[in-house]
Amino acid sequence: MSRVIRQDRAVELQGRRAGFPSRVLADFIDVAIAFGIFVLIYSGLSILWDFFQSDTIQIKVQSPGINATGMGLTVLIYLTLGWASTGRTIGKQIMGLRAVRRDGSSLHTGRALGRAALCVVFYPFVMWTVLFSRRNAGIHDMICKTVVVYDWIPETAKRHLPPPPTPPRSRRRRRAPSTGSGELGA
Amino acid sequence: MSDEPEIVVPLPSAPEPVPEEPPPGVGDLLARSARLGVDVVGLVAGELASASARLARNVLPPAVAEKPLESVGEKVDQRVETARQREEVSREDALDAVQSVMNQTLGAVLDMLDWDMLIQHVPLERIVGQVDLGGVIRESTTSLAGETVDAVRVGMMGLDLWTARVVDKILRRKQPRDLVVLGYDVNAPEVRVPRSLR
Repeated sequence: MSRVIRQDRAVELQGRRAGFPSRVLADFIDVAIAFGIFVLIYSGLSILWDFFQSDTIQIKVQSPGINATGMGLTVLIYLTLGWASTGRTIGKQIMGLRAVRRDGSSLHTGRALGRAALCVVFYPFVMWTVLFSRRNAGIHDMICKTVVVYDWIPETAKRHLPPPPTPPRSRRRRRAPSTGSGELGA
Repeated sequence: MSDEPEIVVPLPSAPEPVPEEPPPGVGDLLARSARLGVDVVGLVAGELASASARLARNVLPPAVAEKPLESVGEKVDQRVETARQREEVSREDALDAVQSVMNQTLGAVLDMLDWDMLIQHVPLERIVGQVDLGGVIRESTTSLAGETVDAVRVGMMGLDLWTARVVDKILRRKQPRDLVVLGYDVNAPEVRVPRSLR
């Protein structure tokens, strides 16, 4: 599978810092998806609870505080999983964006969690700086030393290959066990 | 009710349908081919006569060749031109007749065929099995979806750049934004391989 980008300007901007509208739209998509996940989990747990503890099955409406906390936790876990795995949530995947460290490497779990927590709690405040920053950086980007770049090429279409298996240096040496890195290179 | 006489305005009668000319058949084809043959022979004869007249004018002495042969040559050339036009018309008529006869023949042959029986003999399952229909549908759907998503992304990219330009203009910045991320490789793998598997 290969990924061809036909627009010249889009090719030029691959790997560059993304701007405010793209990032905000990706975040809106993410919040919508997280809301759907939250509703599914909430409804499932409520039905399961009633199944064992009540005679009737109904989805109870909790207080706004509990709902907000549950929604916040869902968004937090959702963002952390996306950023710590590939740097992309579904919203960022749709918009062709990727969150990485300032040096271009992937985010680790701790940094992804911290970034997600800042986003969940202070989103309206941290995002505005993207609009005015010379490097399109939000406050959460500055604190966590992260950037969001345009990267339309998904992992499945990247043209990287595993390193070729190294040949044995001498014949006397023992053969490596079959369940090693040799299988990865195949 | 008034006693005024009713005025009857005659409506124009609809034009009579012109009967369609039946398509040329085998008889027409034969007739037109024969006419074409005659025209071709006439044209060849005219060309020969014209060439002979030219030859005679070159060979015979000028006293004989000038007046009488000139008038003969002109008449022959006129005849040749007429024969050429007639041959062109006849050729087109003959081609029309050929096409019409071919269509009628093929149509009649196709009408004679028992399509149900023929389809039973066609190995449809083998043909469909060789065509990766799922793959074709998947490829086209993916391509369409990808192009739609790309269009949205390009639009948002343009909006990003426009927004940044407007904000920079308001803030009276002279330097463009620094969008380069040093060390970021678009083609690098996104998923980290655990150390135990490296």
